[in-house]
Amino acid sequence: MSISEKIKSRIHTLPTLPTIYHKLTESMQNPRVTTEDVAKIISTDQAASFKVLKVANSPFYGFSGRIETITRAILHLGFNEVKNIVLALSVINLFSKHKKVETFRPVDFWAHSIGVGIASRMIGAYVGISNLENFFLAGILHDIGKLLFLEFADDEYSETLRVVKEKKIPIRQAEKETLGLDHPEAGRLLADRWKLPLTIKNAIYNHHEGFVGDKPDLLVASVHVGNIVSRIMEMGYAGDDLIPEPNEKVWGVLNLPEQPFTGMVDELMQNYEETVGLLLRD
Amino acid sequence: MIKLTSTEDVKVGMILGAPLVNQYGQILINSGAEIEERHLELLDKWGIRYLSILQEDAGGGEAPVDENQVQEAEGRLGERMKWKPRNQFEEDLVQMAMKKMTQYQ
Repeated sequence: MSISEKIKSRIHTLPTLPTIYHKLTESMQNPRVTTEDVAKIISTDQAASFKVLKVANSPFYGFSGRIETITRAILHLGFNEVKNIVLALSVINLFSKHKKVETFRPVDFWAHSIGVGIASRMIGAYVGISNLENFFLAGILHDIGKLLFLEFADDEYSETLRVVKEKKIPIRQAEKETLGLDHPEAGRLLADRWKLPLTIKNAIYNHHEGFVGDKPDLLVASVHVGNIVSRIMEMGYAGDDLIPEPNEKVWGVLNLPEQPFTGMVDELMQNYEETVGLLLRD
Repeated sequence: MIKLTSTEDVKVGMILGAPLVNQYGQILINSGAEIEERHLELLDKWGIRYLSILQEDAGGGEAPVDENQVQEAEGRLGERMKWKPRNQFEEDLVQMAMKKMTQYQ
């Protein structure tokens, strides 16, 4: 059985996303839903409420210490961003207990992904996008396919990681060589299984290209560059320590100001350390 | 330096560090514009929650970097980055890597 068949045959055994996320998605489809209705749903899960408030108050969102209730979090950040925080927290929680494979530890994987989420959102802000709701979540979930390998093919993935070390090649190339399937493809399977929004699925499947097919996409381009930034800044570990070459065409999509990357270093590091502390430490 | 700032904290006189565009790519306020009272009203009306605000550098400069440290950083970068920068943004990525390796270790 190929790895792809193995994953497809077992993907249904993965835990589903928590009920609270589905209830939120459902309620937001109702045009008459109120802030209080949504706050009530989140408040049914005390652990989630507590963490949502902590994240909403992080300097990353710019409201440090001023958001005391879920209702205020929704008013300041918007329905979708709060739902995205709930989803990010749920997925990190689902996959954080996995044992390490070779040198690859879930905590480092998440630290890299959080770095990509923060960098992508900052890039989106630099480009001047007014709606940044999906940027952090897309970065958090961009490499989620790697976790399917850890979950369903950890022996084979050990071999992939050994090949990375031996040949000094990118993990994606080693995945193709050893598993016949790379993490964007595996991530797409999980995105389908969890019925994630198309924008997020596009970022998962296309983050190495920076485009959706040949179509420019600001979110996908930002995650493409965010991944490179997170690796440059050595935030966590993505399976290899190489810095991928950007797709030159993304610079034409992202209308960035001069010296955007050297200019963001201090704020990026501060946001990263704070957010890793909030999301990965109890 | 550009800082992502909550619109609640944006004040008249601040300078926009990047153009504010809507989801269709249309520019709502140009980069470099000085924020006026009418902008604050519009931001509220448009439901904009964050703005990229230009900030003065803190001053004092960065700590001087030892030459050996730079050479070591260049060596490590050469092992991790197998491509050459082709434009100002990729050159800035290289500079970012050097800054990380010489100032944030």
